[in-house]
Order: sequence, then C-alpha cells, then structure tokens
Amino acid sequence: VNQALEQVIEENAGRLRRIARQYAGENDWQDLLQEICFALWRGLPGFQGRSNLSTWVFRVAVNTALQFVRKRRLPTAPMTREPVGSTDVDDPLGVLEAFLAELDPVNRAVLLLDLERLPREEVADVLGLSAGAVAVRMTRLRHRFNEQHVEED
Amino acid sequence: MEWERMRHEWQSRSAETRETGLALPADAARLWRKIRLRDWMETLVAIPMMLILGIVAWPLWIAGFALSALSAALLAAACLLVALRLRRARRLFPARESDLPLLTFLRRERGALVHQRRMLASVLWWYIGPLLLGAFGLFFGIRGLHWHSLAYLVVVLLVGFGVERLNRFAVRNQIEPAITALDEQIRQLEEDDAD
Repeated sequence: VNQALEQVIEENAGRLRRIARQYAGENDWQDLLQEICFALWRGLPGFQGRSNLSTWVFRVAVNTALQFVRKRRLPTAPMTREPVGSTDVDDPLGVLEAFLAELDPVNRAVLLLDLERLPREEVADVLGLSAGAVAVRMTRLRHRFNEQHVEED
Repeated sequence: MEWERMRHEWQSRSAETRETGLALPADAARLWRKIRLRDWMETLVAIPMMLILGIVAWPLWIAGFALSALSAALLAAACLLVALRLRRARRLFPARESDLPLLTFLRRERGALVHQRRMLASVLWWYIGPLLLGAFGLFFGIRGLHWHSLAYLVVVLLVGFGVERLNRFAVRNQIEPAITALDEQIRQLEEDDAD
C-alpha cells in the first residue's frame, strides 16, 4: 500500500496541490494537502478499479476539501484571501483564481476538475451526477466567467 | 484568453512550484493509530469501569447499602450503554468513505451530522443523566442525608446543566450550520441532475 500510495501521490502531486490551494488559505493549504494524502492512504486498499485511478483520486481530494472547508467553517464565498501566486488583476490566471475563490465549494470543484482536463464523464463520476448535468453546470460557469471578466477586456 | 489556453496556463504555472508537504505513508499510519486510539479511548475506559462497578455493587448490596449498590449497577449499565452507542455510531458512519461520488458523500455526511445532532440532543438521557445520577446515588447511599450529600447533589446538577448547555451550543453553532450548508450543496447538485 505504501509504495502504491507514494506512486499515486507522485503522479498527482500537482493536481492535489492545486486543489488544496483553492480550498484553504495561504496558512493552511498544506494541512488540507496532508488530509487529502491521509484519505488516499485510508482509501487505497479499498480501491477496486471500477473507475480510473485519477477519477478516484479527484473524488477523494474533492470530498476531503469540502469536508475541510465545512469543519474549519471557512467562508464559502468569497474566500477572503489573495489569489495564489498572483495579485495582479491583469493577469488572466489571477483573475481566474479570484473567480474560483468567489464560487461556492461545489461549483469551484466543477471548474477545477475541468481545468484539470478531466473528461466530462469522469467529472460526472466524481460528482455523482449525469454527464448532461455536468455539461449544463460547466456551460453556466464559463458563461458567468466570460460575462464577469472576459467581456470587460 | 480562451478557455483551452487558460487550462494550459493553469496547469503549467502550478507545476512550476515543487513545494513539499505531502504526507508520507509512515506519517499517515502514525496518524491513523492516533485516531483509532482516540476513538477507542472511551470504550477502553468504559469497560474496566463497568467491570469494577459491577463487582462493587454486590458487596454494597450485601452490606446493606441498597441505594449505593443500585447506583453502582446503574453506573455500570450506563458505561456499557455509552460504549455501545459510540460503537454503533462508528459503524453507521465509518470514516473511510471519502472516495464516494460527491453527491453520495454529501448525503452521507448529512446523515452523520443528523445522527450526531440526535445523539447530542438526547445526551442527557443516555450519557449525562445515568452517569451523574449513578454517581450521586452511590455517594448519597453511603453518606446518607448530610450537607456533603446536598453539596454533591448541587455540584452534580451544575455539571449536568453545564454539559447539556455546551452540547446545545455545539448543536446550534456547529452542527446546524453544517447541515444547512450541506442541504444547500445537495439541493444544488440534485437540481442540476433533475434538469
């Protein structure tokens, strides 16, 4: 299990960090990252390969992140912190991070999974929804992002 | 910036940072042992207490301290009840379920919180009440009607009242808001699925 976990963490380190940083503040995103890794360690022996390993990892990460937000009673929208890695509003990624921070935790998860290039069917699998429902939500979110930020440019 | 490019930038920027901070399996195993020990601590205390009180009840009965003997038996039963209820709660909502689909996970979380709210709301009857009443009965049965007994009764009532108030506070300020937040998240996801 330990060797398999190390491999899973190594392969998904970037994704896990990005998720942790979007659900916790500058001071505690590493705590969330630890919690996600712990949840992976706990769940890995029960992983039966019914879904892709990456889908499974995202499921654990998103569920743990939402639980973390709830347990620490962090504000859900907007998160009161500076966008990670940038404070420049002209920087498109800074704008995206600010937009993510404004979203409620569930919508944030949908957008994050899309940014991670997870196929729609797998996003649906992570969320427990139909692919159609995910498509509708994604369209709404992108539309909202474009309305708020792109058209201003 | 178009969305596809945004995705690319998103992943490449975050990939630049290589911070450590990922749990090693050994840390995870150590943490898990700690959690298990914490979960079992009440049971580990309750079972020896139950045995000791059960053993004490009989000589008290023989010696004519009927109230104390019955109170010791009540305390032993309360210890058993507490251990069983906590074990049942752990079995109903095992911790190892963070790989469920989000909607199912949120429903399970809500179920666990509702169960916790129910347990805390009735904590007077299955935890505080029997333990404090048993403790008072044991003391009163031996000391008889004395100002010590009355002082002890006042302390017992104050402790019971304080614990009950703290539980109500926790339900109102922690559990209820969490259930409301979960309801909202579940409602959103279910609405999307119904569209």
